[in-house]
Amino acid sequence: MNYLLLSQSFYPTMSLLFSNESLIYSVIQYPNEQYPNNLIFVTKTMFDVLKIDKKDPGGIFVVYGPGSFTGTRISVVDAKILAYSLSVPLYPINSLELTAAHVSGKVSTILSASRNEFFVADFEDGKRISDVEIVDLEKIVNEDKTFVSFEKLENFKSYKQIFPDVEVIRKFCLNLVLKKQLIEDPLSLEPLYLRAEEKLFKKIR
Amino acid sequence: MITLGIETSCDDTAVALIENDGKILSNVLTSQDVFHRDFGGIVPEIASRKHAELIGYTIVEALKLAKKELKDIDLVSVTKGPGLVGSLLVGIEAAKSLSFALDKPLIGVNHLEGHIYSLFLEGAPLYQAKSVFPFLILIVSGGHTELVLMEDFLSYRVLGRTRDDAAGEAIDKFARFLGYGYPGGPIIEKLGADGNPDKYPFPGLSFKGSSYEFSFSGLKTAGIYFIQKNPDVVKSDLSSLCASFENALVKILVERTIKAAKDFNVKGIGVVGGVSANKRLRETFLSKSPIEVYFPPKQLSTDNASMIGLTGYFHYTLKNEVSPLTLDAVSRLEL
Ligand SMILES: [Zn+2]
Repeated sequence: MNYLLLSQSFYPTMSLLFSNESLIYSVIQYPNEQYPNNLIFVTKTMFDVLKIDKKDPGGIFVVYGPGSFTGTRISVVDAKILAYSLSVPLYPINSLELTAAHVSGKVSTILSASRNEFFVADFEDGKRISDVEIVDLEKIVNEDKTFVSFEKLENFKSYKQIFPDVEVIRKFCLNLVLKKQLIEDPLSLEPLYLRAEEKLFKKIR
Repeated sequence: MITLGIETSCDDTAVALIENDGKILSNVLTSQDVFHRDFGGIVPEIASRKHAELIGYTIVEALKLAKKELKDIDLVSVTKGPGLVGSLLVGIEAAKSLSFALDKPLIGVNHLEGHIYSLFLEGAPLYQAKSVFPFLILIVSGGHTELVLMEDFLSYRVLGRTRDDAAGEAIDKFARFLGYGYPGGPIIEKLGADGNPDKYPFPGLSFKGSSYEFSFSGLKTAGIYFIQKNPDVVKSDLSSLCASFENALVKILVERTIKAAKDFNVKGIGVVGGVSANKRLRETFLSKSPIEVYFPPKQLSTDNASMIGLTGYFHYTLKNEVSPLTLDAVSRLEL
């Protein structure tokens, strides 16, 4: 069985194609300015080059946040429309949980939420032991925790940047299949924003 | 041939299915008005969120109403701009995903061009019309006011635009200063329905330069100034005040359009865009123009996906145009 993963919640963006046994093809990229939103283009090229039928995948995985609002929206819309129109199961992945799968021990995984805020959650050997939260930089910058991120962060005392490891991601995804953590109605999937509309904008009345 | 159209340039999530040159199989519009009302205008991030939430179900609804399935779609047409980038992107990504999944061509179209073809849809006065050219178009909406000379399908010459505010923008501002919500156009229209449109004088256009250009900032300022200086009129004669302001705005639009129509000896005038639904604008055009004036039906004058579907259909069938899967949103796109 083959599977497809799409992510544009953070940089680098990813289009991965893998099977139960191994990775088939991966495009992990920092898209250029000319084609900033090329996830579908890259994905189609991948299928064309490999001559794999796009109806073939047994599942589509998508990082549904938290992360860049626009980037997450793009990959979520892509994935849910693909899952719906190809009649393929859709599996949502939390970006911070995916990060945590790359490291063992006690860590805090973190991604920038802009405006000097960060998405953070604590993990122990990949298992989440806190809520996924959005916090101010000042609150966490001096903490003694080990922060782990796909992004390059500044100011943190103890932090480790990691690059997505396709083998780790593949196993993480297959585990979701095993646990049947798919979303029943793919069209109902929405990005995980954490920052509520009411907090983003002032109501005039 | 069946075209699926997607329009998400502003705050309405719209999907339509059209057959061949404009037969409307379904025309679905999920309005976000209720979400934006509390903020006094459109909040881009909220609009993008709602589009992402609604787009899939709006596609399903459009297919259901048209009694069609995904496999029946031959072409996917989507608005690429102008508009709010975050909103446009949702429609574009949905269109790209459908095009890829269904193995069908994708075409990205200009929203303003879309408004033009609202006149050529089923139920509109120029449905399946072929020999209307040269034809003059006035695009008038909350964000745009421009005169376009059309020599054939897909062939345009922009004669003039607004130098500052769009007509819809001026009337929205006027409504806001009167203490009313968004969008202001329909509110002013309602308030001024029984008023005397000639009671209060507002300035017309007086700038030098192209006689096909518009300007509404002077009128807007005069309107706001009048409201501030005459609270008694606002209180006791609101109906005539609204009618007079609306009338001044309509006069500018009608006079400039008719002049251009005569100068270029066109066979007809088309008035499109959200403001084209305005009753006073329609009546004034019909009473003043020696040349035939056409309006889309009201439900097709505001943003919709049928017009996007038809525009894409014309580009695809008349010019063999398609868009690559790298298609991106263009927030400032001109005709
Ligand atoms: Zn419009």
